[in-house]
Amino acid sequence: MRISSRTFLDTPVADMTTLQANVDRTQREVATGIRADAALPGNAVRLDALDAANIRLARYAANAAGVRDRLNSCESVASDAADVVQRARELALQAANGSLDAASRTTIAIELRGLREQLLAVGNRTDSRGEYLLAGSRSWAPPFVDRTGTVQYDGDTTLRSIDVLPGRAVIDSLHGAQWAEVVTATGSVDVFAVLDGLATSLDSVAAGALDERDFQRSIAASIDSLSAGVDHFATLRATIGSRIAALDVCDTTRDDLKLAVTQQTSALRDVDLAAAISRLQGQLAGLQAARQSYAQLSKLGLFEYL
Amino acid sequence: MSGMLSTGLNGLRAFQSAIDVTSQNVVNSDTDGYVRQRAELATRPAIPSGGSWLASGVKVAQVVREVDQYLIAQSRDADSTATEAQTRASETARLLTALGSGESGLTGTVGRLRDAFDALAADPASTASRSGVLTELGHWVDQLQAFDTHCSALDKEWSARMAQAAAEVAADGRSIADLNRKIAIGAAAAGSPSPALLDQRDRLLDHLAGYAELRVVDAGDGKVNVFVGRGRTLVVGDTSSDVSAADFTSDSGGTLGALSSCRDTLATTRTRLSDWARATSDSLNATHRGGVDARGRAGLDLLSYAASTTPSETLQSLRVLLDDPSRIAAARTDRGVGDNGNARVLVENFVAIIDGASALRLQLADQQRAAEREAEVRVASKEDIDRRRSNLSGVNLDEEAARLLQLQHAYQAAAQVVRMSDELFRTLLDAAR
Repeated sequence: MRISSRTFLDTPVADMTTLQANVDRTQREVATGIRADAALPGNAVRLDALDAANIRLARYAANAAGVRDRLNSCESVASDAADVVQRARELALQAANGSLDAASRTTIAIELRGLREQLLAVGNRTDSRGEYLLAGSRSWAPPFVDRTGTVQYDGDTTLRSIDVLPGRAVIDSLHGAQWAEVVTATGSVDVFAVLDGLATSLDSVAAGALDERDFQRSIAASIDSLSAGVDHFATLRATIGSRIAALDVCDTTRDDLKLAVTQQTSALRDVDLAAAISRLQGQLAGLQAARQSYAQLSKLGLFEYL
Repeated sequence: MSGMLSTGLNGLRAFQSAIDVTSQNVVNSDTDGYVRQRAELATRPAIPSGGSWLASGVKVAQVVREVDQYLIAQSRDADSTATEAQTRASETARLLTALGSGESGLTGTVGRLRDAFDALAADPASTASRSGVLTELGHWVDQLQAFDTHCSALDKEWSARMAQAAAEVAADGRSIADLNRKIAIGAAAAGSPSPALLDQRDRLLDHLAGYAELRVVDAGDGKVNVFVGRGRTLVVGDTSSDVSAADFTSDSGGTLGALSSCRDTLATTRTRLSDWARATSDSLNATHRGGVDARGRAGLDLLSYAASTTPSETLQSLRVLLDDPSRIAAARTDRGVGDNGNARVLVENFVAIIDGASALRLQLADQQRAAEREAEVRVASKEDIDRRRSNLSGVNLDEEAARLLQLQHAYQAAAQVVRMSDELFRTLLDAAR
């Protein structure tokens, strides 16, 4: 085949340029640690999708942390309420003792009113951001308000679902109506009303306005309600506990997802340094060889021998 | 014996001419567009003499330009398609860059907007998360408008480059028409067209092929007719027609075809982006109107745009309507500042919104990638054809050196013939003394 002198000398030069470009690319990969083809449009789109997935996962993690914080507060709201109701039940059992004198019953009534205040404070607890935990969606005002001796619920029954995984939401609190309502064998009663009724009948019996028989009937009903209350708050605690357990499972799943995203990102973006360095050495050797052979080629020519 | 002398002398002349041709090849071995020439030697017509033919020597029958018109046409086609694909790939990449990538890109901005709505759903009661939504909506609008502005600038640049390229095509056309005339005159005077002028015209035609697809038709008398793009007449004989950017479309090939096709892509992308922005505004507005704000008022529109205008005007008219964070309707029920019911529905809208943004970008990226792959193939095939063309028409110095040696020997031999005939004359003269 006939080759023009120009092709003969230009082709190696073009090849050397290509080799140099390859060396430059690999060198940059080694220096930056980022694959040269990561910037190709197709890969860039995939990397962006992975970055977006990472942002989502970070948001879910922050959501889960917030939900966990609130659920922990709710759990203590339930368990503290259980403690109060438990103590009230003990006092009621004590007060039911027919041999107790009026003064002792008045003292018990005072302690019961103290417990009621304590329970009111528990019901009006806020989370770390200052939102009332049990207020439903009306979370900027105390949900339980004492109006002329009766505790009323000002909140609503709207609860928030918060996403903690793609397609997985967890309810982040209890509402006050659910929390304060105790279901007994005869119907449902408000826990504050039970405490109020108990204290009132103790005062009445101490003042002699209520006879012992009626008092015993009333206190028996109160004890039943308070027993149901202890169970009620234990159940609420278990409900919250199961939600927290669900959060733990979601945390594990999220960590797995995050690891997968990180691995895919790394596969697209990160340079395998060992491979890149050995490739660089190969390319440099190739470039060197091309230079030497060009130096030899350019000296050849019949004119040299004329 | 006079035959011997004249044979020797015209041998000397023929070999001299052949050496001239070879020297011309040697000194032009590195000249762009130079086509090597070859002196073809032929015996001179013999002279009849008493029933037989007497030899009368050698002459240069013709000087041949080593070209293959078919290969040249192939090489120009390859150049048009390779330049088209290369330009299309690099310019589409610029459009794609304008859409941005990573955090600063379109998808990054939409991702952050979604995250702001997510934060609102997680903490609807906080003013910070409400303001975050308004801030990110503002960024989203800013970015769409910045992209649209960038598109306008690109479109303007491409249109200017097309005008300039068309002007160059027209200028080349005028030069080719002029050369046609000169070549025809030279051919009429000397019997064959001037190789230097043919080289020059071929170079101009090669140059044209980079701008647009080319069809070159032999018009006789050494002239050629030239058609560019898809059949647009540029040169007929001695006359050239004026061409403008409007004469070229996306299938014209070369730089002009590529730029025209990029302008089409830009218009399509802009329309799709504007449609997407409208759909996004509409869906967010509809959901937002269904909610209740922090003070129990019904939700208002979040965004507005001017309807029934060009895509660019739509994008530039996009505005965030709310500036009061308490106006964000995160709730479903009235009075519920902690209610995130509507915020969650707003977030759900983003599945479709983000799909739309990704699809838009992916489609453009696919187009760019396809152009790049096409360019790789086209450039490789162009290089191959160019090498074949250069191997045929280019100068090989070894070959020319060998030819020079050969001609030198022939010239020396012819000189010997002249000397011999001189000696023979002398012998005859001495004999007659």
